Amino acid sequence: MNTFIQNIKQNMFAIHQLTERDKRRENSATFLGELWEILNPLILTVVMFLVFGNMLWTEASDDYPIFILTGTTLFSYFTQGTSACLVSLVGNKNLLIKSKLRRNIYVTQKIALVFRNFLLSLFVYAFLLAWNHHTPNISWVLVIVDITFFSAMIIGIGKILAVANVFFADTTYFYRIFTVFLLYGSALFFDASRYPAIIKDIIMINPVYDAIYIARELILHNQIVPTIYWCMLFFYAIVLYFVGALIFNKYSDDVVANL
Amino acid sequence: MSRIEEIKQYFFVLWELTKRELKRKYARSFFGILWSSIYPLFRMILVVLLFSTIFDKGIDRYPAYYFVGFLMYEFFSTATQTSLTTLKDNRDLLIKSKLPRELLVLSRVLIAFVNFLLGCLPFALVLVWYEAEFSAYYAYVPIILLLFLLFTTGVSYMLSIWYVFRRDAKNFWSNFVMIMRFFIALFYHISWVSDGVQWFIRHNPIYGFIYACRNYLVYGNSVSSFYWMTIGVWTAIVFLMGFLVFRKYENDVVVRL
Repeated sequence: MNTFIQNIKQNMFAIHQLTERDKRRENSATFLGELWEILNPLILTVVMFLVFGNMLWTEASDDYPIFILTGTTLFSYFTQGTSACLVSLVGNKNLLIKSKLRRNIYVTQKIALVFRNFLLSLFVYAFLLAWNHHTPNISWVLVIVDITFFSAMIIGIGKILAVANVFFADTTYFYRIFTVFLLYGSALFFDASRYPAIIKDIIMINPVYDAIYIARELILHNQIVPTIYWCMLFFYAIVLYFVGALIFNKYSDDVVANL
Repeated sequence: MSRIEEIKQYFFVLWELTKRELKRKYARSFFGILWSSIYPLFRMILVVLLFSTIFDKGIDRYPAYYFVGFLMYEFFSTATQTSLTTLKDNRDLLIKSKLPRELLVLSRVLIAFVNFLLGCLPFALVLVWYEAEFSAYYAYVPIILLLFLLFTTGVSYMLSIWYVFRRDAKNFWSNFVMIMRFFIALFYHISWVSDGVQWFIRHNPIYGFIYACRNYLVYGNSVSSFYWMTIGVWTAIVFLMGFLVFRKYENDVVVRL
């Protein structure tokens, strides 16, 4: 038991040190830089609201900003998390060669930092909710479940990407294109029903859209979506998490040879 | 040394720098520079699959409409964002060698421009496929592109200096460019937004460049003198300002790096 706690303590220490280093290295950790990252979903929302408010919002209520912000907050969390993982191994070449840190730490550390920013951006979200007179509802608790599974998904995908990027450098480029598709395939600023039926069906099975859809319905309409959506979320999260862990554990030892 | 010799040398160094950057950028990549064409190609698929169903309402030859803007915006965004950090990235070279400092900025802009030209290959197919109007107006396009190149260079000059003095510049600029993406009527028609936003978009120089190219390349229309004026004045001011700012501060920069 004692060694277990000792282990956790050591891991936390390593994570802390790595994060501090990232901050020093990346100027994104200047105060303004971090503020930008937190405000990013809000900025996107304001812009999309200004541009698309006329064009794409057809519902009677004036919840469009919240509609967008729910999507952009979760989407930013996803892309920031996964793209941070993408470089978690490649970017730590020296440490990987020279130190005996557990490989998992590199991924965990990146996710932890992004998760922290995500939580901070929720303040902005809460502010907007209050502004639009949305009172908290008991069903909102389910959002926590949604986000937990969403996070598991991000960790799984992040691990796969981290390993893939070591063996195949073009992963970065592929992933860049992929996120653009994902952006429009997640229907962030319009209702998915605007797409033709066949594309809508494809979007329905997009895990990121699924997570956003669940959160949106809960918060905007206090409505729990049909079980099928929840099942899909659980399925994706569990499968991706375990596949990610499996791939990562299997290949992370060979990483050093391929860097 | 004669003047011609000097110019020759200047371009030789510029070319070598550009080659070095390209090699570095794609060092570990399998497809290498091919990505410059692959990426636009994928974007086109996205446009045809997803965009056209949401934004296509009534825009003639939508994929071609979108693609002009996309390529030009991408060029501007890459050129300025990579130039921003160029002085810091090439710190050693700056301190140890005597090459003209603006070359470091120019090489980054040039790479983005090469990228842009490679992206134009799939675009040519789009133009043919969607039956763009081929006309004598095509002769204007190189002029517009040249002005656009000058404009972008001016902005890049200023940004590269700014970044040395303020590290936040990077965050600021990447967000600015991201926001700008929505205010150049890239994937929708300008008449779909409210009047205030329309006014703003009309006076945005980047929209001017895109608008002119679009009309000449895709629709075979003439472009009103208002846009030519906007483009011309903006380019003159921005390039001159960039040049002067760079001249003024390029020596202070080395001390601060």
